[in-house]
Amino acid sequence: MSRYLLSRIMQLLPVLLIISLVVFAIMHLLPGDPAELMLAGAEGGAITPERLAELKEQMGLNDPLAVQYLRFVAGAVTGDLGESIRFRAPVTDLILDRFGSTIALAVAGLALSLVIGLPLGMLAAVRQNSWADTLAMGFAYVGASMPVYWVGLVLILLFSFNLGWFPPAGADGWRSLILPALTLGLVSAGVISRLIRSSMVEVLSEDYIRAARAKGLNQRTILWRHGLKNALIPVITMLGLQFGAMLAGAVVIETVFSRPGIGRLVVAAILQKDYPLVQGCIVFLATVYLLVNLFVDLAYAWLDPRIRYGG
Amino acid sequence: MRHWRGKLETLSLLTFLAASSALPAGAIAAGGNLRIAFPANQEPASLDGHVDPYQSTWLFNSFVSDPLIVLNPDGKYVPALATSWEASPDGKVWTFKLREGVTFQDGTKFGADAVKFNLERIADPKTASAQLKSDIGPFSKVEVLDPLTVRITYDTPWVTLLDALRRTPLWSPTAAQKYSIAEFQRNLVGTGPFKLSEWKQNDRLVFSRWDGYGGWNPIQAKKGPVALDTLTIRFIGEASVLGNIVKTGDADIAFALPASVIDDYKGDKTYTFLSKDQSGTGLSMVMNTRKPPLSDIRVRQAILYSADQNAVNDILFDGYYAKSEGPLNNNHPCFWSGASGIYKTDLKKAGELLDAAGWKLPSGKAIREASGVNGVSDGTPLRIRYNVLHHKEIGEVLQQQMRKAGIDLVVEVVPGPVQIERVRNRDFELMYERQRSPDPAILDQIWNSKWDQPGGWAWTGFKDARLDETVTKLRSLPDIAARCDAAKEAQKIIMENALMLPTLSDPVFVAYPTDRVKGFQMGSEGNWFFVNNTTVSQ
Amino acid sequence: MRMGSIAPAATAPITYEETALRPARLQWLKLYMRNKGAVLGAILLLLWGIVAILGPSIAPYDPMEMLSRPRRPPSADFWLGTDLLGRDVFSRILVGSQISLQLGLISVVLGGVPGIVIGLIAGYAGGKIDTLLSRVIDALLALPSILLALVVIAALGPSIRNVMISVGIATMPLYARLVRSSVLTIKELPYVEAARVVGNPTWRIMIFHVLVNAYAPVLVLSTLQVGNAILIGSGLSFLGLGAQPPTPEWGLMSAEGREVLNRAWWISTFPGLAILSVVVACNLVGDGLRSALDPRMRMEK
Repeated sequence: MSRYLLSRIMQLLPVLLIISLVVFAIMHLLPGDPAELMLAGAEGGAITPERLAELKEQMGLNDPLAVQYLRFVAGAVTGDLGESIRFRAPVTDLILDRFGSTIALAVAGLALSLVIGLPLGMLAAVRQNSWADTLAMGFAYVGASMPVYWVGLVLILLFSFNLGWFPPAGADGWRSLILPALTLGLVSAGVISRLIRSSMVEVLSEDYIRAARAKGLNQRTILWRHGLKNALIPVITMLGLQFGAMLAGAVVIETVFSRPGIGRLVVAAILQKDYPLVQGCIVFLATVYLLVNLFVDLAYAWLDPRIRYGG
Repeated sequence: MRHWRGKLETLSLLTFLAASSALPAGAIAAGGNLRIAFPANQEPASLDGHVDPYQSTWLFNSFVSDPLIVLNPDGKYVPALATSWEASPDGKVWTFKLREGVTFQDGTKFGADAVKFNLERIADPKTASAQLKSDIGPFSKVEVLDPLTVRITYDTPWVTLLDALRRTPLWSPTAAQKYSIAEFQRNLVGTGPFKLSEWKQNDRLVFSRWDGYGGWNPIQAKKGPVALDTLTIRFIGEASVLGNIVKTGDADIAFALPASVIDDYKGDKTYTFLSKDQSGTGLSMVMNTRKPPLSDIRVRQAILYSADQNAVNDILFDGYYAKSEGPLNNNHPCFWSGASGIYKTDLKKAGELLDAAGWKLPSGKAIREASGVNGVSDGTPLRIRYNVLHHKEIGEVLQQQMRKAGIDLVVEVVPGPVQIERVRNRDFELMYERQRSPDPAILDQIWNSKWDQPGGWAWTGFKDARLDETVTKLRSLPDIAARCDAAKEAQKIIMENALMLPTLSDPVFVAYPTDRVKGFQMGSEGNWFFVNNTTVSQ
Repeated sequence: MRMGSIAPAATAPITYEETALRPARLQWLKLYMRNKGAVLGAILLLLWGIVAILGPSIAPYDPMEMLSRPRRPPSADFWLGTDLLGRDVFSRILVGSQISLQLGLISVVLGGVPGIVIGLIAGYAGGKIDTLLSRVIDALLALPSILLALVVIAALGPSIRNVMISVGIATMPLYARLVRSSVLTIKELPYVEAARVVGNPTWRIMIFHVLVNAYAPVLVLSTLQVGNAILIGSGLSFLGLGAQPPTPEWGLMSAEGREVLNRAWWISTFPGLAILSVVVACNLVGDGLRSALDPRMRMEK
């Protein structure tokens, strides 16, 4: 088991290296340079071209690209992702400052999507072809098909402006987490409930379920002990991908709800061409995503005895 | 020969009287925890104003550290940590007398040494100051004449120093030396009314009252510490949320409200609504005169004649934005009034100019095409790209207006990197350009052909000896009236040659509940405010 | 009403081999038509397709013209109200259907074609080429697609064309991974083996045997991706990096109106509903196709 784990982790390294190289290359293909971008929005008086050139030198933007890339990789290995050009602070600090908030959002979003998606999918599967099925699946399809920011704004309008239950912005305790997590959760719940329904429908028609029914086992026991357990397996593989979707959704949701987070950080960094920060954020997000999926794979193998650890 | 001097006694007494009469007696005792909602896109990247190039950074710094000079709500420079100042007639030598008995929040004494330290820190290459270094300028030396007198010397006249110093935070040398540049921005120590307690990036900035404050800011009515217990700036991403956050009770003051919500506050007696213009330039579009079609002055004039800024303002902002009619905003003290009405909307005139320039309207078509235009093959449509970073809706309305004159205005929203690329290649027709400093010297930066080089801000490609000479004066004339005259002359040349399309200027809108928030003061510019006399009740 | 995938009928399990060798067109169509949700989705898509073709001729007004006061609520003159500039929201949605559907379709083609080619090469070639390509695919899959699209837009500048390109690039790895895994299964099948023994050139085998038999999952993914592309496009518009004004792209229209959602709800809501209807339709059709083409096949993304 531990050898398998180690080899899986070792496989991640080339993937991360490729990611960092791709990001580095794309960021340097972007036109403009960070010093000029920073001053394009500056609000003081005049700046001369000489001063701009001097500033670039001071910000270390004139080093050869290969040097900059190797410096990044060498630092990243030791957990040092370099210094942000705009924030003038270590990238690692900037990410860790916001990581908690983004993770809280993603985990809460995932949890809500399960809370909503599981019962909905099961209801639809058990009451197949009834009005409950139609309603549940209608909800699932609609939830997964709306622009995220729009859902977020409607929730703000409803629960914040009109009812005053939750704050419309910020990251101050659990109350401010509910609306953004619900926005993300609704979208994912649509995907999860559809999956639960179809795998549940399939499981319920399997021979062993029919056998259990024939033995006269309680309907509820069949449903929960046998049905759900087996229907969950495909859902678990899905969770890793949904977690990725949560991180992507955070890019938009964090802006809508004025929450600090890595999504917002990286969007701003891209537009300012703050490449140490973009590289750091993206490599970090990708690492989290890959680790979560690795964990999901392990959980999957543990749940489904047919799968054996392979080298 | 002219000297000018800030007279401490009279001025501070006057401000004291003015401020105290505006406040109801006993209000100061209330204190409270003030929460201000602020647009998230104006959050500083670094909180150290020596490093970061934005007004918001300098504004937040002003809570932690008083500057030498304050630009008061009437637009006058008044003494803060400097009690008086004097410049040599040629504008090269500046001498400042400093206030006695001032200490930093860490107990370090304030004096000429501290000023020298701060100016040298800004100039230090390790600081990599993005803006202030340029504004304070290339001084040749800073001398400590005595513990409370400091002298700054330049090789060339440096007449914009006061505008730079009113924004320059002065940090405790002890604290600034203790931390690296990266660390200091979270550990600011100044002489101001508040200490920095927390900066949760992308969310909030929290300041708490410093009880050792002496009330050195001339805006403050009562000496000693301020009344507020804490001041929190909350950064809000969505305009609709910012527009409602005071009503949901999640903030006490909403700063920079979107125009769409103004009617909710303006008509409502329970709220105080403020609108403050920004000077500097408006949301202006400079024209690239290097190549057709805009190399022809008739086409440039036709663009100006076919735009109707009042209609844009009415459609989009219910008329709450301010008219902008030239390269400096209409409310700028050096605005050239001749710009008003020089290009009154006149589609007929626009059409005649375009016809004469060889851009004819083919029958059955909406867009004009070239017919005998030098350097343009016949049949090329009159297509003009309008590049903006924000406020694209203004472009959309202009697009409709210009279509009536047969001009195809193509609105393109360009992210920063693309804008830089286009400017660098001079690949644009109309490009958004904006400067926010109230000093008329910004005209030099945009219109002096000397700066038409990589990294320079003069993008139009227009070269005119008289214009260059006029804007150069803005950097060397010490006398403000003479500088205004030069600025007006420059604006006249710019508008006569139709080098830019002024659109509108966006005032800063502020709203707060009248009965709860007292003594909130806007600066002379919309992007500045004072909370020295502010109280809030919960 | 039935929605989602259909349970496999209680017949003998259909193996991949059989469906691959005998596509049995009528059979899948019959299966598809039994799924009411999928039929509904197909009808919706068909309707939008017709609207997209007729758009400009059936729109009551010029979608670009400022006709009245801005922000007018829905009325007899303006069925869905007027937008921030006083343009007719209904006309803009009708004409905009062209742009939004194109956005979905073209970006799928832009991402699908190179994705399929890379997947084919990786799967069929195997060995070092496969290892390398697979690592690159894994790497791209680990990046949130909206960030990938964002970086591309920041480099190229925002326009509807660049949105299509960037969304295409962001979806490419999905195709590559899917096709690669299908190829791995199909490649081992006896008839492909046979084609090789007979001496068919590799490219022929790839196209005529491998690809033709991998069409089912690709078709399903593409249907789902059309909807997804429209959603990513709306996200880019929200971030201010999508289609350019005055393009009546639904995402842009919905994003523009969001500031006044609580006082002029129609400006943002109706384009949002248009997006919703197309994306739901794509998901219904995609799920319907999935269960009709191969009840055993399950795609995780």
